[in-house]
Amino acid sequence: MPTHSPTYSSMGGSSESLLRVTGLCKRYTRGSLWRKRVAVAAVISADLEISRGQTLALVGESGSGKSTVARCVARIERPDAGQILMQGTDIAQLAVAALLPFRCRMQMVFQDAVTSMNPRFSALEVIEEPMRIRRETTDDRRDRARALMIEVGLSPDWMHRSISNFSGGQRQRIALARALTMRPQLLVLDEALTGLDVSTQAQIANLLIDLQAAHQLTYLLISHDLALVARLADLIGVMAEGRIVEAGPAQQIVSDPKHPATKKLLASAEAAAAKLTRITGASL
Amino acid sequence: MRAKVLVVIALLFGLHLALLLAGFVAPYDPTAQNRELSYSPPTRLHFKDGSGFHLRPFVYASTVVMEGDQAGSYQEDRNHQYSLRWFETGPSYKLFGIYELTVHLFEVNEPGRIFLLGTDAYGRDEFSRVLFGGQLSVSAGIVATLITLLAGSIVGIIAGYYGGWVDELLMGVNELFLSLPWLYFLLGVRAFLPLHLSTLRTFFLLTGVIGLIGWARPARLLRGVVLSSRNRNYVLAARGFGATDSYLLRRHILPELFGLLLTQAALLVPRYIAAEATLSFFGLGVNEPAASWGNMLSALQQYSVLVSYGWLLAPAGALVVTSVLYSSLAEVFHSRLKSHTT
Amino acid sequence: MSYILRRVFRAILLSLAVSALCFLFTEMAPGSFFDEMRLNPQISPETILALRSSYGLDQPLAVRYARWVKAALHADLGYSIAYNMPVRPLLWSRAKNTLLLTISALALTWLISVPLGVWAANRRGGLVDKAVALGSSFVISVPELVIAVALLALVVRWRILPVGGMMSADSDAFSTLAKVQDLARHLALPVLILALCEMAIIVRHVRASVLEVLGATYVQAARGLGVSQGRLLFRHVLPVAANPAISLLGFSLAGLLSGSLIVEVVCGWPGLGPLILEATLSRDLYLVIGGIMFSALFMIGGNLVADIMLMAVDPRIRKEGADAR
Repeated sequence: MPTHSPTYSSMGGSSESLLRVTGLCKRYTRGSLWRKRVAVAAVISADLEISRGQTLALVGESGSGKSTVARCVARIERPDAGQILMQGTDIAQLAVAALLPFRCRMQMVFQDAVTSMNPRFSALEVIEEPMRIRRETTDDRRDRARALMIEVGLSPDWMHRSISNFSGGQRQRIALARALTMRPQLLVLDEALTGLDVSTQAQIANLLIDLQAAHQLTYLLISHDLALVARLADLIGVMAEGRIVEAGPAQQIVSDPKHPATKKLLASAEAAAAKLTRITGASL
Repeated sequence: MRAKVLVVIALLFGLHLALLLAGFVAPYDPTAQNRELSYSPPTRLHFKDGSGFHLRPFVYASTVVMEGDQAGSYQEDRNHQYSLRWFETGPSYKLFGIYELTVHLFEVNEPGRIFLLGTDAYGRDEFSRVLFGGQLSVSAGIVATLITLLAGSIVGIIAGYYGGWVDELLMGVNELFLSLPWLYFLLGVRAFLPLHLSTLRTFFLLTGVIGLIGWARPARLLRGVVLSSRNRNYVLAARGFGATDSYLLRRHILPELFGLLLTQAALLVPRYIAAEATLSFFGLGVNEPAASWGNMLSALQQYSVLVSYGWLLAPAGALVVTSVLYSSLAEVFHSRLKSHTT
Repeated sequence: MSYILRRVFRAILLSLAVSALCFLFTEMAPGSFFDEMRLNPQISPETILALRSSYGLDQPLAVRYARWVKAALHADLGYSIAYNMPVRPLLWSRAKNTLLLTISALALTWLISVPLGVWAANRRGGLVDKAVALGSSFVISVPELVIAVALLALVVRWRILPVGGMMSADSDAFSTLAKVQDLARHLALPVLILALCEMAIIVRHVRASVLEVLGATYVQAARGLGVSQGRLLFRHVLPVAANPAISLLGFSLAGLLSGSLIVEVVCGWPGLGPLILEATLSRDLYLVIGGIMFSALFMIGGNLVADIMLMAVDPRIRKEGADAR
């Protein structure tokens, strides 16, 4: 299969490149001491570039490797090969200690808000965790958490409530507040809106837009929902079977898909939209 | 439901308190022999006598009824009455091994005797021996449990957290220990260690051996919990914030283990008490003259004793009560654990 | 096939590890059989030395172990110092008795537990169910030693059964039938005690797994289609509930072996238990090791058989074995 090198044209906004990934590769091995080791390639090769203030969405079917890219970028996993340039520095193979200063600059928001937070914790404990890890004082932590809760649209009176008492959408807001604690420049959103009901999705999407404007945030958005992505993203990269098969400005991809994988995604998105229109009689 | 829990905890607390204060609660020294009163049946408490009802119970002296040359049986001598007295002085003892005291919970004036559970072959008060024996047996169970849980935790946490070949190696060893018949193994280990030691040394030896053999199952269970906790998304998220291993263990993983540790503790203590009792019964544990529920029961290996002197089964009763209480506690912990994790 | 081979390999590895472990403990023995002899002024030190070397006890550890393994592979397990005869025939004669006891107890356990567990699960919350729950709870809590002593006390007091040994003293004069009867009467108490303890555990598992299957959707569906309760139980529920039951079989072997030791000693049944106990008390080195190895092998073998049976019964495991290739 010919390696298709996707091209990104930077759109408006600052042209300063925040994140640049080249040749990312990650394999997972199954097996143990006794059995044969079988390697499964999750990401064969991936390139992408995002400028400050932009939103790049990585879309594809499940298993296409997009989540793995996200995890490598956020350095939750260590890639097997490739470069991840964060404002010029390659963080792909950095050791844990050297990675520390970069942890502030990028944060990850997971899909399932339920599992990404310890159910025994209160909202405060969840939000302040990054600060706690960095040993900031109790008062500083609480003040900042309070401010963040207001910013994401939650009442700070609920600070001491247990996480399990919040709804899905509220938990995602808490997750965002937690991600913002360290004033990151890059947010990696791994299917962060999947699993929420439509109206909550819309609310969170709006919140994301507001936050991006307020803090000059850059988003790497992972999703399989092309319709949602079309609203939020400046750039779109389509992944299939471990490679990025098509990339470019959002409008261009949506209106003029070239690769069969893209077309397939678009088709299913349109089918879903059509179904919703049929059911609700409204158009998205 | 809650009432049952409270009752169980109260009873357990009372039991442990009585054992802890054995010197105080027991009227006699457990090693004091009364050869002329060997195999006495339990002394009966009376409230009524010729002059009517008394609030304070009393006992009669025991006399031996001779049959020809031999001592036949015991009879109450109604001529001599001895009232029960509370908080009286008696044989001295050391509370917690430190404070020398002489006050006992209840006493009967000499030469009256109050053998609540009769006496054994040497005329030693069974009730006192059950209390002191309980001190030994129960504390052996508790100490052995602590050893097991400590060893099991260390192994389980290391295996579950680090995974990889460390995990495989540790679980291989674990399976080895699981596949051994524990009592045979216990015997084997005991066989190769000195048979006759001081009571203190025997105690540590016993608890060490019992505790170290049983680490396998708790380790496996703990490993499971650590494994599933380690892969949770919130742990990954915390790692993403730069958390160190020790932070993750401390804040996220260890709290998950408490429920399991409590349940395991409540399950293991009675089992280990039983293990000590079994070993002492076989003569491999605590030896005379120290009392343990096990070695007290070994006197019953003679069928004649078993049949004629039924009160010597008292340690068995004590074992049953203790075990049932602990099992109920374990059930409580277990159902709480289940309701928390669902 | 590879699944079986892997299991067998594992079993062998386990056996070797057990034997090594057993042997390691000999190093930690500050006292030995000969310490007692040394105290006896009638035996000269030279005699003791000669005895030690004839038993091979003066060789280094590794050599002793290697010799023992080699001998074991030729089915020679060393010499018992106390009995003054080879270990293997000694063990084997006793092991047969233990096997008889264990297998009878196993049979009785399952014969009663399965119907009882099914009944309890079938009429959930009923009288039988509650009785089973309470009874099993109690029996599990009580230490095996206590149950053995208590039942022994009852039997001896009321003279229900003969206790001690396998046969009555004058059994040689009995006819074959009478001999069998006599054996059975002696066997009754130990089997009863063992079975009672095992039953408490097994019946709970049986009940739990039957309940689990009864609650499954396809069973509800069958019931909805009008299948009778009896047919439901036998054709649909039991075959599935048999799975965990079979794996239980392997595990209960461990408990059965440990338990049989206690029962044998308390009831005076001449099995491996009293032998090993005696050997332990008299520090008869090779006998103890031989005994432990025997029982460990028995257990490992039992688990292996249970694994194989499980594989034969559960297609999922067969598939998993094939996938791993």
